[in-house]
Amino acid sequence: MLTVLPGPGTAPLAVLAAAPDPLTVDLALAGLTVGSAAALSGIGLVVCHRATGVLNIAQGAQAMAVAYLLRDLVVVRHWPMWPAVALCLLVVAPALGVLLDVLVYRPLQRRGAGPAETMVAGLGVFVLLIGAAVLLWGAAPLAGAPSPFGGAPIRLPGRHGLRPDTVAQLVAILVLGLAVAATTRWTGFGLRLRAVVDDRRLAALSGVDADRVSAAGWAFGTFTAGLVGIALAPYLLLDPYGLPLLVMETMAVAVAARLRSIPVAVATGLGLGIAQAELTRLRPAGQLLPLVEAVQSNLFVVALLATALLAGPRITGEERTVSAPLAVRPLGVGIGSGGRDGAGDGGRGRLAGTVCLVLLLLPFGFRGNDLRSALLVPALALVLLSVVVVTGYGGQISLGQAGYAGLGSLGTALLMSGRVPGLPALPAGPALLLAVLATAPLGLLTGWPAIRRRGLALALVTFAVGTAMSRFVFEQPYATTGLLLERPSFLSGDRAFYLAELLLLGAGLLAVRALHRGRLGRALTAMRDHEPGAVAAGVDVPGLKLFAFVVGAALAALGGGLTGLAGRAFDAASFDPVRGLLWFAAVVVVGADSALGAVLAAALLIGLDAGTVAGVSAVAIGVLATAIGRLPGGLAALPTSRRPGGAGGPASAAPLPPGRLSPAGLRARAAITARLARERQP
Amino acid sequence: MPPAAALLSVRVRYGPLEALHGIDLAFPAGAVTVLLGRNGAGRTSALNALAGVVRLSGGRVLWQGRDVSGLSVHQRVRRGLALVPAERGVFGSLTVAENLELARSGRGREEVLELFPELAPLLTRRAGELSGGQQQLVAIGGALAARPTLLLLDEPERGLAPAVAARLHAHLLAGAAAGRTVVVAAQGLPRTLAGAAAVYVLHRGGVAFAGEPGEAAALADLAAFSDLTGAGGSAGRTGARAAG
Amino acid sequence: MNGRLTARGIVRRYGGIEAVAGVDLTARAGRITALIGPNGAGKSTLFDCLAGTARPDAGRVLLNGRDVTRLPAHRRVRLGLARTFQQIAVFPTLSVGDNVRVGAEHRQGRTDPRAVAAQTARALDLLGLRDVAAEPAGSQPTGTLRLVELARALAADPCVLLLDEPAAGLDAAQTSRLVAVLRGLAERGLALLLVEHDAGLVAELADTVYAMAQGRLVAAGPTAAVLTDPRVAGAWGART
Repeated sequence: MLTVLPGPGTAPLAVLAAAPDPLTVDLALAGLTVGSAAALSGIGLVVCHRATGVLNIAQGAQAMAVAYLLRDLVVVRHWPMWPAVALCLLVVAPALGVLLDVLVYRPLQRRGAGPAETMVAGLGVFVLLIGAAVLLWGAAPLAGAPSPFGGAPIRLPGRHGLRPDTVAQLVAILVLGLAVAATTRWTGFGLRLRAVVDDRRLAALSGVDADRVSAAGWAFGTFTAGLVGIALAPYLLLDPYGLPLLVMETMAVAVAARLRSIPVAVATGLGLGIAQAELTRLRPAGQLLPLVEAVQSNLFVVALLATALLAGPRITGEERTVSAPLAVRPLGVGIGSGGRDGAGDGGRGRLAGTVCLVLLLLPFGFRGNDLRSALLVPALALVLLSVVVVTGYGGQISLGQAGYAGLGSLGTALLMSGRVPGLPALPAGPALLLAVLATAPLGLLTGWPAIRRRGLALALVTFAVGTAMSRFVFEQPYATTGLLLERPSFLSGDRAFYLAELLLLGAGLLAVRALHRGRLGRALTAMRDHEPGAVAAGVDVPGLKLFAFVVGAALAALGGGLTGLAGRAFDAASFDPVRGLLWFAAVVVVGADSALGAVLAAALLIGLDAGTVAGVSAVAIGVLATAIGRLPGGLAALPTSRRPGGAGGPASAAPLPPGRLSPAGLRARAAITARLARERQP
Repeated sequence: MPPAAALLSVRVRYGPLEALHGIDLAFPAGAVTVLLGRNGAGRTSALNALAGVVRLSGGRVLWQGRDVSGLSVHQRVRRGLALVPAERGVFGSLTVAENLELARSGRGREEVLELFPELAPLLTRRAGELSGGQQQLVAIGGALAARPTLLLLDEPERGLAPAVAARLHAHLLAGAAAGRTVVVAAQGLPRTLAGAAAVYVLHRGGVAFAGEPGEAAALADLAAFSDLTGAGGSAGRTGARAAG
Repeated sequence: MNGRLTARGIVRRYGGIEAVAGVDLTARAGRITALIGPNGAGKSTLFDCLAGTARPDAGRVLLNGRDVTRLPAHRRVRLGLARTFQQIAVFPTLSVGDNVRVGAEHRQGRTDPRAVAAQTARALDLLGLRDVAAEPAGSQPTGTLRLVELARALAADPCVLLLDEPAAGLDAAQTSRLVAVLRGLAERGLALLLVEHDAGLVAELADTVYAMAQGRLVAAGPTAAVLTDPRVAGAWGART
C-alpha cells in the first residue's frame, strides 16, 4: 500500500503517506514510515551539530549519494544486499564524513571562519555531491532502489499492517538514541564530547583534541544521512535533486529541536509524519481542497518554514559571536576583486568585461541545440545578478532566488494565457513586464525575515520560502497544464531572441551598476561590511534590506521569465530549490560582489554542462566552494586581520627580551632606583 | 634565571582591535611571574597568546626551548601547559568530579582535594550549580590535577575568600620552588604573592614596567605604578605624593 | 554646533532584572562627560538606550530638547547624534574616503553632492586622513581605523558624539593623540559622552563624570570629586 511511486509533480512525502485505508491507526502506522526517517535525520543533525558546532546542511546530498551507491552495488553490480549495506553505511558513509571534516571543515575552523562561510562550504559539499551523482549516474530518475527490509507487511493485532522497513527504522532510532546516550554518559570519549559540547575553548584547554571529536561527529552525521537515504530511496524514483530536497525538508525536525535535543527531534519527526498521514482524512469540499491537499503533502515544508521563522535570529542560541554578516568577497576566479569598482582594478575589470562580452557574443555563431542552450545563459545571468545584489552587495544570504525566478516565469505564462482574472491574454512583452512588477514586492517575503536574521537562520528561512513557492505555487495543477508561453513573432527565431535577451541583460547590468555606484551602493556596502556601523552612519538598514530583496526579486523574475520564453514553456523543474543552492554557490565562488561574475558564472554553469557532460559544472562549483577554508582570505570580512602584523621581532633566538618600557614605567623605574639608593645610605 | 617561556614581539588582534602591540615578555623557569595591569591592558591576551587560545598576528611564542607558535591549544596542554581563564573556567554541565577527571591524572586529583578540601563534598554536584568562588576552585583544581609544568592563572583570586587565596598563593610559590613555572595575571599585586620572582606591568597592550626580584614589594605605593594599574586608587596616589 | 543630550529616568530591564534602574544624565555642549562603572553596572545598556540601539522600558531621551526616545538609531544619527564603537566599526571594503562619505551623506536634509564632498573633505582633514583617503579601510592599522571611525561620525556634522571606549586597542602614544583630538572637538562646541574603563584617561579628559553601579548612579559631578569619592573607589577600583 505504500509502494506507489510518485508521478511527476507530486510531492514524494505525500505519496509515502497516502494510505487508502481511512482508519486512524493505519494512517498513523503509515505516517511512521516518513516520520521515522525524519526522526533519524534529526538525530544525525543534532548529534553532528553538538559534536562539531556545524549544521550539516549537505545531509540531503550525502543521503542521496549513499542511496545511489547502494542501488549501484545491489542492482547494477549484483552484490548481495547485506554486504552492500554494510559497506555503504559502515565504511563509505563514515569515511566520507571524516574526509569532509579533514578537507573542508577543519581548515575553516582553524581559520576562525564564521557560520556564514561554513554554510557556503556546506553548500559546496552539497553541490559537489549532486554534481558527482549526475556525472556517475546521470540526471534521469532511476527506479528500483533496493530496500533491505522489503517484504510482506507484518501483521499486527486488529488486522493492521506494519512495513518491516518501518520497524527497522524505529529500531534504528531506538538503538541510535540509546547508543548515543550510553556513549556520552559512560565512556571517556563521551566525557570529552560533553566537554566539547559545553565549551569548545575550555575543552581544548583541558587537553581534549576537539578535532577528533569533530571527526567522530561528522562520521556519525554522514552515517545517519546514509541511513535516511537508504530508508527513503525505495519509495522514490532516485534522482539527484529529489531526495536531497526531501531530506532538507526534514531539517525542520532538527530546527524544532534547536539542534540540541534528540528526544524533541524524534518526537517532532514522528509527530509530523503521523500528522501528515492523518491529514489525508481531511477532505473539505470546494475551493479549500487544493490548499489542504498541498499542506498535507508538504507538511514538512510548512514545518521548516514555521520552525525557521519561530527560531528567531539564532537557530541554536549559541552563536553569540558578533561576526560581520557574510561579507562575501570574490575568491578563486578573482574577477573584479577587492573594493567596489576601485580605480586600481580598472585593468582587471576591463579584462573581465572583455571575456564576458566574447562569451556572450560567441553564440551568434551557434546553431540548433547549441544556440538553444545558449539562450539560457543571459536569462540565468539575470537570476544570478539578483544574488549579486542581495548577497554580494547587500550581504544578505538568500537561498530562495530560484523561487522568484519561477514566479516570473509562471507569472508571464499565466498572463499570456489569460488566466489572471480581470486581464485579457497579454502579449509576451507586457506579460513579462507585468510579471516582473508583480514579483518585485514579493521580495518582502524574504526581505522581511532578513531584518532581524542573518547567517544560518536567514539561509534556512529563505530556503524554506523558496521551497514553499516551488511546492505550493509551481507544482500545482493550474501551473502544470494548459499554459501558453510563446515569444512574439519577431523574436521567434532563436538568434533574434538571443539578441533581445542580451539587450535586457545589458539593461540589467547597467541598472545594477548604477545602483552600486553612488550613495545607495556605498550604503549597501556599509550594511554588508558592518551592520551596526551602517546604522551609526545614518543608513536606514531595515529599509535598505527590503529594497535589496525587492530589486533581487525583480531581477530574478526577469531572468525566470526569459528562461520560460526561451524554452516556450513553464517548467517547474528549472526552478527547483536545489538548483537555487547551486546558483547561490556559483555566484559566491565566482565573486559575489561582481556583476560581471554573474555573467561568467551563468556561462560557466550552462557552457560546462553543454560542452562536456551534465554535472561537470556542479562538481567544479562544489570543489571551489568547499575550498573556501583553504583559500586564505577567501571570504574574509577584514582582509588585514590576518596579515602578519609588524613582522618586527628580532629573528634571533635569544629569548630574554630587555623589555621596552613606557614613559610612566621609566619614571617608576627611576623612582625605585632612587628609593633603593636612599635606603642603602641611611 | 633562564626563562622557561617567552613572548617575542607578539601581536594579538581581535578584528580591527589590536590588543598586544608587539610585546616582549620572558617567564623565568621555576618561579612565579605576575602580570599586572588594568582591564584592557593586555594581561589576558598575553596569557591566551602563551596558551595558544588566540592566534598571533605577529611574533613568536617560545617554550621548552623551541618555537611553539604553531602548536594548537591541546597540543600545548599535552606538553604540560595549563591555563585557568578568568571567566567561564568550568564545564557547567559536568559534575565537579568530571571536571577534575578531564585533566586525566588520577593522582593529581588527590593532591587537589588535599589543597582544597572544600571540593570533596561537592564532587557529585554539577559545576554550573556552584557559587562563583566554588567554580573558581574547581577550575584551579582541574588545572593543578593535570600537574602542569607551565601554569597560567588569570585573576585566580576572583571570588575566593582571602584565606583560600593565601593558601593558593602559598601553593603556587611552593610549586615554583619545586620547578614549576607559574604566571599569574592580576589587577594589583596580592600581598601573599610578594614572593614572586618577576613582575610585569602591562599598559595599553605594551610593557609599561618590568620589575626584578626585590622591587616588586616596593612598587605597591608608587604613584606612577598605581596610575598604570588603577589598583591603588586615590590612596596610592596620596601615599606616593607623601613619599616623593 | 551646540548640542545637548539628556536622559531622564531611563529604565531598561532584561528578563526581570533592571540593567538600568532609573538614571538621569546630561551631556552638554563643549564639555566631555564620562560614564564609568564596573563591568555589569549598566553602562553599555544605558549607552545603547541613548544611541537608540535599545529602547528604554521607561524614561526619555532628549536631543537638543527634542524627545527622540521612540526614534530608531539611524534617525537619531541623522538628527546629529553620532557614535563610535568599542569594537571599531569601519567598512573594510570601502576606501577610507568612502567610509567618511557614508557618514556625510545621510545627515538630515543634506542631498547636495557638493555639500557632502565638502563635509567629507573637512572630516578627513580634521583627523589627518587625507593621505590615506583612497586606500581600502580594511588594510589600515588599528590607530588609523579609530580615526576613520571618528571621521565618519564627525562627517555627519553631529552636535553630540557618543564614544564607547574610544581608546580600546590603542597604544599609549596613539591614546595621547586621541586625547588631543577629543579635546579639540569639545572646544569646537561638541558635546562628548564617553564610556570608559581607564581611570587615567577619564581623569585626563573628562569635565564631568557619572559613576554607575548595579544599574544606578552612585556619584555624579566634577571629575576630581567623583574619582576620589569613596563609593566610586569601592565600586570601581576593585574591578574595572
